[in-house]
Amino acid sequence: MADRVNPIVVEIIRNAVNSAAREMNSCLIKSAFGPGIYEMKDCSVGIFDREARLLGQSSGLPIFLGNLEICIQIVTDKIGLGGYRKGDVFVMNDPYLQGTHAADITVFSPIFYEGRLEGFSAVRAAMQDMGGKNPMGCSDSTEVYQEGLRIPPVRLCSEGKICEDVMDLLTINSRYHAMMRGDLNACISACYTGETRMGELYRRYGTKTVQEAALEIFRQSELLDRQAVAAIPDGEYFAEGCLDNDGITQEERPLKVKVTIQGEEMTIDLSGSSKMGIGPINCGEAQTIAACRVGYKEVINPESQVSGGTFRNLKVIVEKGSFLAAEEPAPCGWYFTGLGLLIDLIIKALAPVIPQQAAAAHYGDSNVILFSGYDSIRKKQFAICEATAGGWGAYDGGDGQNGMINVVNGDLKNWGIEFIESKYPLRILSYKVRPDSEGAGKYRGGLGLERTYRVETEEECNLMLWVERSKTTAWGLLGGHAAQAPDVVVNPGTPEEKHYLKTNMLPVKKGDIIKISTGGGGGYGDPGERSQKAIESDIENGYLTLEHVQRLYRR
Amino acid sequence: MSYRLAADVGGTFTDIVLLNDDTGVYETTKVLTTPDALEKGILKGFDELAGDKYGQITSIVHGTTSGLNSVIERRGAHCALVTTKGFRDVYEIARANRPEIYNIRYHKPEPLIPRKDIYEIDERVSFEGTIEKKVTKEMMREVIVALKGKYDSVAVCLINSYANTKNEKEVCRILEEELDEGTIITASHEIAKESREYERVSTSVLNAYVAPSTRRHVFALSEELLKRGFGGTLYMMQSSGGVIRAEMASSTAVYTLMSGPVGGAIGASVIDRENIIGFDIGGTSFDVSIVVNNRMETTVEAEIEGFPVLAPTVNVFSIGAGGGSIAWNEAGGMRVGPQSAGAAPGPVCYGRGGEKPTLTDANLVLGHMSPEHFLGGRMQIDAEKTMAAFEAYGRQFGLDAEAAAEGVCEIANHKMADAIRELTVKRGIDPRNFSILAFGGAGPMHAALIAEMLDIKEVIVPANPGVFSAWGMLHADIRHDTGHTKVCLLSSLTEEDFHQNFAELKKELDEVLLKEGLQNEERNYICALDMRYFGQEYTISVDIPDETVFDREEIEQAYSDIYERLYGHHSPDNIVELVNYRMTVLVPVNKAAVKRRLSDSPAEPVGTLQGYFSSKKYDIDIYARECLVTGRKISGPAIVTELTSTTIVPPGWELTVDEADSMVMRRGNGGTEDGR
Repeated sequence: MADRVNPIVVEIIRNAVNSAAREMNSCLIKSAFGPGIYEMKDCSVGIFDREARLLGQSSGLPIFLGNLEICIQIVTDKIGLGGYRKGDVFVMNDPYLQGTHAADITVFSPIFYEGRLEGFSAVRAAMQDMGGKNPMGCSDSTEVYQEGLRIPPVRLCSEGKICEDVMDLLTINSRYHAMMRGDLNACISACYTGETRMGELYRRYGTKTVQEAALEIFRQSELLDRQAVAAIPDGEYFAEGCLDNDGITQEERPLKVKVTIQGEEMTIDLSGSSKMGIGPINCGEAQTIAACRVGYKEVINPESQVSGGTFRNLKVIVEKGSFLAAEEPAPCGWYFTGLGLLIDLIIKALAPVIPQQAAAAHYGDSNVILFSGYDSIRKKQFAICEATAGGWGAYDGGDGQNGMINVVNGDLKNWGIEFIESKYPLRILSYKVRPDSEGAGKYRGGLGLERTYRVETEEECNLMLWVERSKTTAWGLLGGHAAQAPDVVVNPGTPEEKHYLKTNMLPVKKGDIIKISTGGGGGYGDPGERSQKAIESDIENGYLTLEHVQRLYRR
Repeated sequence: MSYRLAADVGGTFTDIVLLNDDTGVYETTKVLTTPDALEKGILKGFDELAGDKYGQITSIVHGTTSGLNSVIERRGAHCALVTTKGFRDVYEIARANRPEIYNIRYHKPEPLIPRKDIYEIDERVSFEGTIEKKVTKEMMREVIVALKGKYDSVAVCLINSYANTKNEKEVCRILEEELDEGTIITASHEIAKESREYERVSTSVLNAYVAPSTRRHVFALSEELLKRGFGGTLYMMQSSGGVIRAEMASSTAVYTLMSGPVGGAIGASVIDRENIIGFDIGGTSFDVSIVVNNRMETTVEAEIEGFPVLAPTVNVFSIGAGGGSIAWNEAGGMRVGPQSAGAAPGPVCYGRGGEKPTLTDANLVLGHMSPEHFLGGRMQIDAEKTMAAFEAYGRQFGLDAEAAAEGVCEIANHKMADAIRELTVKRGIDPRNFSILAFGGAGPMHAALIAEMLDIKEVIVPANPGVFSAWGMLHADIRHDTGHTKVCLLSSLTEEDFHQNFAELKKELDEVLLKEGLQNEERNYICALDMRYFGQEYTISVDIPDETVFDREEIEQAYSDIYERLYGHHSPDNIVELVNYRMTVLVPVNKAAVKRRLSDSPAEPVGTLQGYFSSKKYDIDIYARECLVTGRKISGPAIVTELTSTTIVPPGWELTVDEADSMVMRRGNGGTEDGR
């Protein structure tokens, strides 16, 4: 006890580091140029110690959780701690190193205090476009080289000065040079903000005290996690599902999860899952681990702050050659599709032993719709890419939510109708919930959504779709049913009507109508036990039709 | 003699201030709030202070959290929403986001209007404002049947109505004609003529939801005041920090929803300092507002219970740290809050069954409050039980009771200081150049300690800090805001458009003032443009000091300067885009300065107690505020007690009472190095 830092100081430092991370985050969000960051909050920030252990973070995208440190570690391994200079800023996006895909950029900078390296501040943020064969991404890549510029760790700033040649090299490869430059500037400024705030903390308490406090913070997180895992009965728990396909070939892509609880330790073993795909469903191992951490965190102390001590009792096993441990040159553009499924499967596996913390599956995939081409109204190129919301899973005591964004997208917001119509050559004809799309249950799953677009440009317009989870739709728990699958239909009700889930650069023309419907969430418990009052309200509000209720809820 | 009255109606107490405009002297009282009929509590307080002077009262202003509470408790009106065909679910879907990213059971805020009460009309306006499908009575037939006689209040929000209000106006006109008299109709373009349909519908629905009860309240209060001989003007406080005639407030009720905490911010803006960080520490929250160059900061978009509101709102930031914040142990880590013991069971020292040590309890253990003077000695304090609670808490960390209490206090102070730092630095403001203004029950107890952490040199505790918010309301100007969305690149903005847009807004505001019965009164207009770099979504508001002068370069420069201040960089190569025009009109009210109090008797302590600062034990003098008149000076460590508040003067700090009867604390030369 004697050499332990005063618990009061530990707590003050813990709060202060998280406050510093929040400040970095607001600096990034407010000054970013790309809507991916400012609107969708497709970003994450963290402050780390010298050994790349997390001191504090500000929540952003959950799947970015816990893989910023690996980026720092990679650079440290390469140049050594002595290789950093004050004011250096590194940038990288290599999917095989950091996981994720080309559009996600990691920017980090060493934190120096009184001439000594003390730690790092890091940012992960989504860029609007990183080059690649189609604007804002494609659904039919077969090699990473088609997906945009691949950046190994390089210095974006050297001793406080922007390396303009590197900056030019990066931004010239994006279709939106100025936006990318603005976003990178925002990232740099966020990193420096972290250094400034940490400097104040070192000045006040001394670096040694901050280091010792960090160890105590790690100890607290680790202890909490170990207690929570120990409370789950020992055993092996299984769940599996599949992706519809890899976007190129038609075969299903199974994903298998085995969760082993042994005392205070949890192991998530993904052996037996599909081999790498030809199409872009592959995911770098670093990101697979991060996704397992999200699933873990959803049931293990979801309320408590993450630190360098969190996840120490979590082990992840991924087979070499698996699509969840992508290797060059496997395409990784849609790496997150498998992760949405993976996170829900972890919960499903554990549901029988922790029903109080579990929920049925959600609709599961970003269901991305992208229009690009030439806007004849505004006389310029355009591209708009949207992830769509769907139904969430029910749980013991509550229905799932209607129309909410999928787990890997965190706090992402939908695009407003007036925003789209005023900026892009598209008309929104309707935006509504999709009745009867839920997984039935004592507590029912949430409903999917339906959005209908009409193309307004007289020039070229192409549609890209990446809509998944039509085969493993959101499952139910404890007798709850699975939900409806997603669907996209072009020109519904006409002789040319055609259904799609994935397509790349499909030409569409002025007046064409595209309706995207997303899946619902899974139900919880036997639908026959749903309360009469809840059913009446569902019918009165038009969420469920009478016929559907009679058939599935046995009334 | 002429007088003015103000009432700040809180959840538990209603604070009343009566000001004599001729002498500047004022009286105060606190009565219990009467949630079922707010006017009862208000009138009880008014009668107490002004029972014999209603005829001499020129104006009454009041702010209330009742509208907000009715939203929180879902006690608002039975409402319907009318919208464009195909978009019934925009309100329920909201922005589809999920702020609690690890919570697999996250729920969006429960809609105030369920889906069954949302109706569609087959009309359409394009984004450019072209009417593609005109509204006819024929297409509204079914909706009228469904609405008639069934709802108290109806919100109307059509797609793209910000670009052309014609269809929305026509729907409202038909509804007014067809529905029962007394049904309140809220048109989205009248509440917020801005782009973004979800935010606009959310604002309109909130307005529809609280308008009927606001109208009832205003009617009941006016009637009672009339009976008592009041012939002046009744105002309501708005979230923007300005007041509006009460009878007009019922049609824009959403503008008054956040009026509770703004009184303190207005008060802060009239204190004789340019730059102030004002805060109030209550039982459960720590509320901060910032005044820069004598102007309180307002934002154009706020959030109420998770619903966005497009209405100018004084920025009051809350964090969950207050007197009731509970100290607990998580895996051997000391944690304070955000859970609060609230009013029931409350802190341990209240002796009402609270078992868990709180921040208030820590202050008691440290000798930072005087048990016999707490609430004027009206409250029995259980010091023994509190001590025992801290002994038990400290034992878990190897600390004695005093060290544990000091730790809890310090952790809470640091949290509050961190919050202030985040708020100020985010705005490119250096907190060291600010004064702290502390009010409310516990604000002055922590103010000097927080100031030390932020390296702030001066702390001001105003007269009657416990009713400061009500006092602030007396200084609120009459205020109206308007704005509209007109997106264009700054480089292509013409002088003609610039003048015409502001002229339109000015005309709108003058018409509102005319409706309010103000024709020739002195008025100030504040003009602003919301701008962003092309490609960004968030905008920055840039003041236009003189809207009759069009200088594009100056506008661009002002934008770059603010951008640079906020984010540390700007992008001269990027194109600037103009999004919204905004205009505010202020009709000033008298600002009565607080008069100094004089007395010959010296400031003598009324007692002493033993307490701790930075782990050192001190004999702390206790002073009664009424004895600290203008010019008096005391040195810390000391405690100043008054009925509704306690002020702490830490060792090394000096307190003087200024001409406005405020206590001003400054750190002397012997101050401690930092907060520890």
